[in-house]
Amino acid sequence: MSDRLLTTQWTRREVLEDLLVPAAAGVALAGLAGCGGGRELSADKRVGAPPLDLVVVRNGEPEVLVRQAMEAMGGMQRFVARGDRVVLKPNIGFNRVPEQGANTNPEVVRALAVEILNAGARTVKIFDHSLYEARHCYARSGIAKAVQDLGVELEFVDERKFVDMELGGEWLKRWPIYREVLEADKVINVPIAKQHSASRLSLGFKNLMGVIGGRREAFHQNIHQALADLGGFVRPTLTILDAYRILVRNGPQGGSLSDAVLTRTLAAGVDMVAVDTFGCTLFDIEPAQMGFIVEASRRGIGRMDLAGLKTRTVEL
Amino acid sequence: MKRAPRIFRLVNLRRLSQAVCFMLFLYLFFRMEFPPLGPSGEMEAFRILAPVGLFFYLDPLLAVTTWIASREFLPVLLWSLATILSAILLNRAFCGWLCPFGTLQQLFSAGKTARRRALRSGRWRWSPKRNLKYLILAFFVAGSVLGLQQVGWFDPFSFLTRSMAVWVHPSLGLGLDGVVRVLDWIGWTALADALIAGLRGVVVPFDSRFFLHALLIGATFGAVLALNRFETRFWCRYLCPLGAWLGLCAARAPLVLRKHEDRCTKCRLCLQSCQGGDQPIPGEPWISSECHLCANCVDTCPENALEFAFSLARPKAAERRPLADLSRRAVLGAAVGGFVLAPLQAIGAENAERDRKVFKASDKLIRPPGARAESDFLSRCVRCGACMKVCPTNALHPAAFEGGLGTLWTPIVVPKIGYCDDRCTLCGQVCPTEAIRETTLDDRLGRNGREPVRLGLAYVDRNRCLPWAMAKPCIVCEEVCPTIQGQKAIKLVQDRVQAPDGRWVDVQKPVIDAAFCIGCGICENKCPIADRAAILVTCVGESRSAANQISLPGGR
Repeated sequence: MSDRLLTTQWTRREVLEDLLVPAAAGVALAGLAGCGGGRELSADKRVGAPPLDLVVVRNGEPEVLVRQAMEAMGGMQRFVARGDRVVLKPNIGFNRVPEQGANTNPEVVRALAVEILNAGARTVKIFDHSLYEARHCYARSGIAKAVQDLGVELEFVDERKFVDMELGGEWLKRWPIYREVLEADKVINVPIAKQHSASRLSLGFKNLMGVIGGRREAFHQNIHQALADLGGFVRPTLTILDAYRILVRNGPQGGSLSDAVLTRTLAAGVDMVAVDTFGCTLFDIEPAQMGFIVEASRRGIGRMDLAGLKTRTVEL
Repeated sequence: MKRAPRIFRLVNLRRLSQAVCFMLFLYLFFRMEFPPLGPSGEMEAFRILAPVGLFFYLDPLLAVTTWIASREFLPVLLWSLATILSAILLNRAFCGWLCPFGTLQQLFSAGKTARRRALRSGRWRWSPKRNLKYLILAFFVAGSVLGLQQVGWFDPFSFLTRSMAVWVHPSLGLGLDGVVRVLDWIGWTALADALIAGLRGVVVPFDSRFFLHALLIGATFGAVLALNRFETRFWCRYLCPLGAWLGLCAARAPLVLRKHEDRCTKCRLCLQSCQGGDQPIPGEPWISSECHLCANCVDTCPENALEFAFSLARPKAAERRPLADLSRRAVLGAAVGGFVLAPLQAIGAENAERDRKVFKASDKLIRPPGARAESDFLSRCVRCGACMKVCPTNALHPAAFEGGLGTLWTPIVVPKIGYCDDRCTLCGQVCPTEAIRETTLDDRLGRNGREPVRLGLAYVDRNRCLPWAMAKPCIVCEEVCPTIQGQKAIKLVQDRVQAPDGRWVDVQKPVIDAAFCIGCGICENKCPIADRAAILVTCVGESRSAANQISLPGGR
């Protein structure tokens, strides 16, 4: 890891000035203001508010789920502007095949990458700070193969690229964040829904642990605070919850086909709290019991009152 | 006499051959790696298709000692017959033309001072001290009769591959880190990014890695290379048991160095450039078993007094002396030494396994997945370090004396540094002598009626574990524990415990369900207690041992 990057304290302003000014210039800061706090990373520069807060699509194949969801959200061009540098962050954390439900479905990733490219993105970077050995994960997950001919950049995490950032969190004050996320114009978060014995569920917030470095294993001693701190800093432009298969037991990596349940569902939203709240319903878990969701909602990162959100459910 | 065109001169052909073989060796060494994702991205990406064991298969020394020690015929080593044949016909051409370690010695011997030294110190002359290599050979062959495969300490390909894997390869990574740091510092970050993306996993380690005992292995390697400054190709002349073996095979080789004493002006240029130190100068007997066929003498002789020729005539002792001064007594003495020292080498696991005694090896002797039972393993492992090179998680390290002298430089899993990925089969793919048998995913995971390959067993140190000892939440070991036959080996039990400040808190405590533990060590590797994990893996319960178990068979 590069000493210079780690020992230098980067404030958000410095990053904005050094790295993000060109990107920030053309994009409305209105999006920032609308998201409360203004503490978050400027990855959240969306082009106007979408017509819906949450879209749920059921009973489809991965590619169709993505297409329908994006259509209902008003099209990818609503979120990705021509010339944007986009980070697409799936879960590629485990040396598991798609049928085991540990990594984001490769066809979901592919379909999203196509949507982003069609919206005119300049670059699409795909990576995850894998928990298992990265090359095995990228190959076995099927994601390397799924995106190989698209012209996207599938990148292995380079330890040098973690930059110490002031998160301004309640527990995590400062933490190394992956440079590509800091430099990107848009971050699109595409987690898979899984059981997890510390956070109970691994959804959008938990997926963001793949853009950070440092001693991640220490998060589990205060996981809900940690996830809220992280999610409050890295605010994805869009969160697409892949629930084509969900892992109901032995998460987060599973390994048995019987632990993965085919639910053929996908949820999309700008509000990561809302998307994760919906994710709870897939597991019959009361969102109010989910520490990080309650915490994030309390901090105004997003809303967990599903009833109050403009939601559309598309049954195919 | 007309000379051949420059390119076809024997020395240049020899240099070409050396360059090709050295590059091939490097290529195969770097291919001992997780295969590139490739344009197809298919699942065969998990198989190494390059013949990374090629040089080992061509090594008759490894072939014979492995066959003898393991009492089993491994057919792939039959390739080494080609090398034997080359020695019978062409002398030690293998050493001069093909052997990458020999080429490296030659590179480190090169230079004007070395040439002058050869004359001044009289090292051009044959010395009986060079028979040391025959004694080394006899020592290890005798050991192999007793079921030990220690020749890897001195076998050139094992020595080179091990040194490259443990010392050179990680050093290349550090070197790139240094370059990248400078590039970052001057602001050429994009170039640095591209360098890392392009080189890691190809010629530098994919992730930063280091090995136990790298200092010792690196220092030995450095010392062997440095000895070339003392005498040209010191290793090949004094130490290499493979060279000795080929010298034995070449005793009656029909390829001879014909000397025309009438043309010789005693300029001694041939002696300056001679690689083997085999006395090419007319007037001295040619020590044919020392000649690497480098052809420097033929090439440098300004009078064309030397030439290679084929002859079946029985040479006169004054002209040609293979195996000079090699006394039967010395060889027998070395062989006896091998017999005598063999039991010392075998102290530890070896005897325990054979005698069905209680397993007395170190708990740290965690072998890679697919490794044979310890005595069988030690009779095949050539200590080449290929498994350590290929291991993507840096889990495999050279052992020291964990199981007695006999385990030196054999691979062990050190979970604290790297865990064994439950779906990785790379080490078994590169092992040249099948000391580590290639496993399938079914073997590793216990699917389709197979028993999972177990390396050992995890246990929780309750005095260090956060929920057990400090009433703090932590589930990392359970989180990372792979699911084997449908269940995780680490299960969480709910408990209400009193924290040090008196509060009652609910915690999930990890406990081990041994039936599902394969000893992969990822729990120990990822445990947040960084210095000594609160969950540790030892080798008890390993599949390959009948003795090293907790319960009787079936009672795990």
